[in-house]
Amino acid sequence: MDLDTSMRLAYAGMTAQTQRLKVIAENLANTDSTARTPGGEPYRRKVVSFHSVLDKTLGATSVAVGPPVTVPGKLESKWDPGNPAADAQGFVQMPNVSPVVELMDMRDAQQSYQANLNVIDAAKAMISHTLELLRG
Amino acid sequence: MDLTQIPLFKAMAAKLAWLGGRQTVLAENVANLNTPGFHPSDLKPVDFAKLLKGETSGPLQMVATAPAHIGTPASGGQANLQKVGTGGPVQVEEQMMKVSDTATQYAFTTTLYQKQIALIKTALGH
Amino acid sequence: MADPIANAAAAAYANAGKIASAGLAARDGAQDGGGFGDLLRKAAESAVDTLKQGEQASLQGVMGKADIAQVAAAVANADATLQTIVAVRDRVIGAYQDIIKMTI
Repeated sequence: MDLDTSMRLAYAGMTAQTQRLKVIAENLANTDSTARTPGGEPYRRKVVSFHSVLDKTLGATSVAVGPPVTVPGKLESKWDPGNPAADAQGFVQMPNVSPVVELMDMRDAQQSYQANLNVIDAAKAMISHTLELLRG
Repeated sequence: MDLTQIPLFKAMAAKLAWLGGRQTVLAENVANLNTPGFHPSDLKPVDFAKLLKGETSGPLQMVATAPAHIGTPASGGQANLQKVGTGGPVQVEEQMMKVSDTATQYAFTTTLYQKQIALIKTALGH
Repeated sequence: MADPIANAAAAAYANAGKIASAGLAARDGAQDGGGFGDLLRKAAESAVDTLKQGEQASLQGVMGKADIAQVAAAVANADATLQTIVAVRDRVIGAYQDIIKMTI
């Protein structure tokens, strides 16, 4: 039934956003996670990618989230000689996580989550009206 | 007495099926809000003129408008559920408005349906 | 809106009048429908109009061409009219049966 399909699609959307939020939370928790030994790699920002998936059982285009991918690139260095991870010059490599970027991403994920929730609410209301019709 | 032959009831049944199908398409759009390169779609509006003339029968059947659509469930009837791309990235506000509009129209049509049946029952003497 | 029972009584009177005048007409070749009968016929015609408008408005509403409020008003009108017609019909039949049972 179409309305049931709508709800399942919205559920898939919500699941995807939840996984995205999980990765964002991980990033935020590790904003300052440096390496433990000198010259080691600190935490690197992770992102997830969305891709559309043709769900044959539903007959519709659903969404799925790929596994988290580390963002490569140059890392900033901070001068902190007391840090266990400080190199010979006293610099420590910092994670490439920007709290502002993560928070904005989180806001976007929340909005998408809410949008999917709205779709479920609308489908639920429509099903309830159909049942009223049946009740006569 | 076959209600489905009365134009008004034919129109209402067709509208309800169309609204259900549209909600699915909108759900697809919303689920793929953050999918890069995804283009939202919508359904073509029901061609009531054709429906009422009897050139198309209701209720409706999904039409595979893209090669990727497989195994569309048959529910008798014709192609009133045609997807058309609306272009551009998905805009959540627009989709939300369409979802809400679809639900409202559905509520209106089901209530009208109930009312029309009640009128028929009154005329019959209930 | 006049009391349906009064209308029904008027209609029954008109019917009785028609029967009587039809009988008289057969006797002296004159045709007279009676004022009350005409009144009821006109009321019935306008009622049918209201019902048709209700259905039209519903169809327009479903097609998306009419405002929800317009449809609601038209359908409510049709509903009230239909209830009236049905009440009158039932009373007329009852009244007619009563009259028939009257012994002359």
